[in-house]
Amino acid sequence: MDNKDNYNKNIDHENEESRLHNEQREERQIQGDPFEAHDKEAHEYEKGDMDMTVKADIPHGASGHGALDSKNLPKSPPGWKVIMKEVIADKLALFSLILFVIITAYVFGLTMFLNRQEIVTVDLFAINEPPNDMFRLGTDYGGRDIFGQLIIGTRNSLAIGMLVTLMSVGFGVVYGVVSGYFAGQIDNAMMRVVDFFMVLPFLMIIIVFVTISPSYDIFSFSFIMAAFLWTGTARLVRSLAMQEKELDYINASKTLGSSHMKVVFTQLIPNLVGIIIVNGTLSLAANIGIESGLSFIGFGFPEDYPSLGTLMAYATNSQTLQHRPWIWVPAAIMILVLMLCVRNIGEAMRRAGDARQRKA
Amino acid sequence: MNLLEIKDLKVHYPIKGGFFNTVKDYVKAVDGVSISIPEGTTYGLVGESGSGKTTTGKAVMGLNHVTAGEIYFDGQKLNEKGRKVNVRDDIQMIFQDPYSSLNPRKRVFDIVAEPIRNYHKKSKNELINEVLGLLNRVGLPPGSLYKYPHEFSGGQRQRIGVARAIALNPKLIIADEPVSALDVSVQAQVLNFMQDIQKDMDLTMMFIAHDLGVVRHMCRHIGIMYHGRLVEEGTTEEIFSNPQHIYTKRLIAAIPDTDVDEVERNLALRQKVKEEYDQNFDENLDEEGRAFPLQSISKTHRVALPVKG
Repeated sequence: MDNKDNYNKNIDHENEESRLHNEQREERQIQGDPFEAHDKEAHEYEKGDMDMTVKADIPHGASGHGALDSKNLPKSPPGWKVIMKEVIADKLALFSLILFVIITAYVFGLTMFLNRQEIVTVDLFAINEPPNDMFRLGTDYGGRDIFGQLIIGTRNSLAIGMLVTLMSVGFGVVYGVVSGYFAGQIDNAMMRVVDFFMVLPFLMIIIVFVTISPSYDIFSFSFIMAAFLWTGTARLVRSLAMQEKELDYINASKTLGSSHMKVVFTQLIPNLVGIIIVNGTLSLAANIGIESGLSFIGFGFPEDYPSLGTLMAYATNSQTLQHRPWIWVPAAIMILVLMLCVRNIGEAMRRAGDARQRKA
Repeated sequence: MNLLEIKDLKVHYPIKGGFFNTVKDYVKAVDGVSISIPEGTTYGLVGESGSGKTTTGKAVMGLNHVTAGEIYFDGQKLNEKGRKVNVRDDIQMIFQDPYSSLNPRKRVFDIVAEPIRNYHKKSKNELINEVLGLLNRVGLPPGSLYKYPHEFSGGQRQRIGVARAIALNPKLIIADEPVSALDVSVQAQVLNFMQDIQKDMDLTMMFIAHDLGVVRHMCRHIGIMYHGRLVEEGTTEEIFSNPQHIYTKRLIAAIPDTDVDEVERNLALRQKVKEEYDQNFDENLDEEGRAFPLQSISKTHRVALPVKG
């Protein structure tokens, strides 16, 4: 009995609401809003047109022009949620992200328990052993555990890759945007500095640095790499900034009283996010490659400080290359997997940065 | 009282060339334009593409450099060297292209709130309410608050542009062909509600357009530009009922008429004006192909007729 009563009441309530709603609508039409063209009948259909866009995501009752109730508004999703949604919608990116997080967490977590000194100590009784119970991935020509080296090496390579990318892309973007936005003489002077850095033989300088420096750590090594790698990003971003700043929304922002700083960082850079992320992911992959390459030719980290490159370098020995794949194949697969993961995640992030390309 | 006074405005762009990249010549985009706009009225600036209408408007906004001339707003000189008068919250602009004038990465809320954030400190809730008020005023539903510009049609985007321009309660709005990118049915809507807003807020407007019909509908005074100079200036009535310069005559003759019975007569008139134009047009310009200085023929009506004698 009670239930039925409630049910009836609900229906009454709903009727009441819709009646109120209709009344409100009529009232609005009588008042005449600026959107209505002056000839009311002739433009009736346009109002319906407008309402279509509203119905899509507005709770019932908030549509129309009069409702200024901020409670009924749809919430605006925060930036990280947009990115997460986009990554989840793209299954490949989601898989890559999970894989990447697992690898990084595993690698960074395990290195805290592994003893580097112990792993890199030469053990002459276990030279070139294939994978077995004691050494999960076998040993190299010094009897050192490949698995331990792989874990520490991945951590070192990843850390260097990320640090170099962060420093070089971060600086390159700011430098390029400032140069492109202000143009003229400022741009001219700034680009000559870039040209100067580009003509320097950067591999030679890193090799010289590695040879003469008595000791260096991940940070200083990354810094010296980043000091030469920002020029590409700067040039790319500058050319795009020059294109973008001609558009009217930059002019509009200026006429609305925004300072140059504000225009550059809140208007210009968000529109370059796509290319910045693509550039960032590509250079992250490339930087891991460059570090591995330097270690490969022997000017990265020494053998007792393993990286993915030092493991790959063992493949220069034709015996190792042919008969002992357990030494270098895991490192090669690790590089491949990491780079692909970074690329897929970057692709999804790029889409999240541009509302028009979002899939989610 | 004139809210905006432009005196002998010149905007020249150098053409560089030669071995040493020296200045060879100038493109005279605007060459000696004087305009005064009384408070609370709309001034229409008409002319063909490349005649310098937009350049004039942008010079007032401070988006162009000014080669020579003076711009006064409310008695303050705007293009003074060194000390800049900050009147950006009093002069606003509505841009021509509703597609490129809204930042595609910003939500409507951020776009409309930007000028308010620049000049006033407000809490988030106050801002939301203010932006909602503005959206309501230009006829956009509150649900558009967190949408992106690409989710709107051209007419709706132009409304966002208008909402942004009126956010600071400006005294002067420069409307740079605000409806030329919209199709005709939407043009009427946007124009009507711009007129309503102008009445409500007692705005002064400089309306740049190349559509004479639109200008006639909107403006009290009209100036017609040709190659960087004004060829004729006066009240709307004077220009339409008594055009003096041959260029103005031809422009007005070219307006299509829907009256079927008048077709023959209009065609004959158009032919006559065309003949006159073809024969005499060069005589109405000086040796550089630009209009002569303006001469007053009535209190408000000024025409660039060749100097007699």
